[in-house]
Amino acid sequence: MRPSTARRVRSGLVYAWLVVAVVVVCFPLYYILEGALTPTRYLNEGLPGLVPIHLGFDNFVRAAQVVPLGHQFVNSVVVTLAQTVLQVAIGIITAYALVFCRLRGTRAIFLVLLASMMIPGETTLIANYLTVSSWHLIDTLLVVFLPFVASALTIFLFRQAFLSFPAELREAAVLDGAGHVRFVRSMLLPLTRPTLVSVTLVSATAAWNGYFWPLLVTNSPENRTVQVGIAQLAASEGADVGVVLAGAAMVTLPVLLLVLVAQKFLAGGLTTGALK
Amino acid sequence: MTVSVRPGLATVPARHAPTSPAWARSDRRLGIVLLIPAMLVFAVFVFYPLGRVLVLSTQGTDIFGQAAGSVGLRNYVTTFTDPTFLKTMLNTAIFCGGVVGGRIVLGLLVVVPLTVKLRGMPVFRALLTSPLVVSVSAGSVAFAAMLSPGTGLVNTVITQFGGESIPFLTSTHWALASVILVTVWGSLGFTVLLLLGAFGAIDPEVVEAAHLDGAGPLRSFWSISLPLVTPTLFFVVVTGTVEALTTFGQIQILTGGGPADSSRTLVFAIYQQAFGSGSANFGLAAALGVVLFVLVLALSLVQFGILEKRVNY
Repeated sequence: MRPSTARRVRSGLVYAWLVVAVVVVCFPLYYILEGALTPTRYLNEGLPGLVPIHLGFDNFVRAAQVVPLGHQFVNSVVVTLAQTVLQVAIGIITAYALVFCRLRGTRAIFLVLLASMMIPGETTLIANYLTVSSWHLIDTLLVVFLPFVASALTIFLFRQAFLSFPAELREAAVLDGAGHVRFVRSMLLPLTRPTLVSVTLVSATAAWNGYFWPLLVTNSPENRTVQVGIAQLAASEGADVGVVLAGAAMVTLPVLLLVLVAQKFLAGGLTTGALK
Repeated sequence: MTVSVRPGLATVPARHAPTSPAWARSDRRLGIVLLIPAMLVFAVFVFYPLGRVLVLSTQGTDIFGQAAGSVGLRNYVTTFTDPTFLKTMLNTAIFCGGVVGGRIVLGLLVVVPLTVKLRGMPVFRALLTSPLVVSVSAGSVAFAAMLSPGTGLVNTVITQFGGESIPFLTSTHWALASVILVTVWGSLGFTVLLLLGAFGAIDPEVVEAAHLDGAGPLRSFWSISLPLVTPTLFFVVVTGTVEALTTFGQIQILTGGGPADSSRTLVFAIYQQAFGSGSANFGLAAALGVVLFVLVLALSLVQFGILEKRVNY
């Protein structure tokens, strides 16, 4: 075989391999999106139901009407917004204090933050449950996000970005008489925007996808988040695959859109903290 | 190439503070105020509950789930001598091993062809990392639908081709394997993203040199590329094990730990002891929580110690 033929055969094999991988890896995602738009009676036909020829929005309508998934979707939006805004805000002010304020004992605080990352949330879950129930907060939306308004990882990522901020710029701002708020708003955040965007996206995705804690601290259907809602829907109405998949699509689409819009930032954000 | 497992392990003193003493004093006051919210949250929801769980684990629990006096180490003795605990730990070990092994093997099988320079690779990359967008509960309910015994897609296909329907989620032989499979799928997107980064950071000249020395693609993969991405693989092993140890949603949604405890892992056991039907035994659940803490702590120390110091190039 001539080298060019060999190369063509090799790239053909690579493509074939990748196509198989895409089919296998992406199939569940396709199943969620296609199934959400296909009536259950077609889905139950097996393979024929997987060809998108009977598309319609009936499943979504029933998911929103028959079960309160629409309401739970709104709950999830509220929880995600509150948790993300607070987590990012607290992340910024904490990192600011650690980097720019002349504090003693920042090393000790740093170790405290490190230590907090080694304590699994699943260990402290029972005690946290007892705490919030003694505050009579069970079955409220507030308690779904309250323990997560500060995140050690978020603080670290901001600290990291702030540490690489040019010292001369900070000096110049101070000499020009800029206060802390002005410095943060017009210099620090604009210049560390990639970090701000990716941390926000990752925080929001994590808040949106939360499951274990929201499951424990909410009881009534109208206070559930949509992630818990779809799991309970699957447990009780598993036979109606179309409606279950419509619920799954409802929670997947916002993140899918987010990734499509901000792919560069999300990929960067997800692997920050992992590898540099 | 340096692998930093967590950002900024090396502490750097505040260096941008202005020099005047008056400024420094007001800065310090502001800094303390700014630290309060985060410290409050960590105190209330991380450190205090850790202490409380340690105390709870030495207490008995009455039928209403209220702490009822110290029982010393009896909860631990009960836990460790319970035959279902052994089974739970075995399940947990199989689960972690299966998930981490599956992630790495499948991750490499997907990423290695992605690193070949060919047209259309960005599209393949985007598609192969797209499962990232699926949450644990959405993925689990989709798989529950696909794997269900009656009208589930997978079994419909199997029976159409003359096979026998497989009880993926309701048989003691299949439940744990099914949950492992779903978890591997759920974490594959992130694994691919990490490995793509690692392979992308390999200096092409090194591979070129190996090629000129007559190394074929397989040989250069084994002897050049794979060793160069070992830091990332170590990272995936350690953090992936912690992640697998703390997996809950898939198990609760897909199998409920069953049948006959065959897919019950440590975290699911904590949930069952504390919140399972009619159980509410917080003392025993807390003891299991402490076991989990010790395991995660050990892995974190491995991560901070060995990875941070040794796996640097």
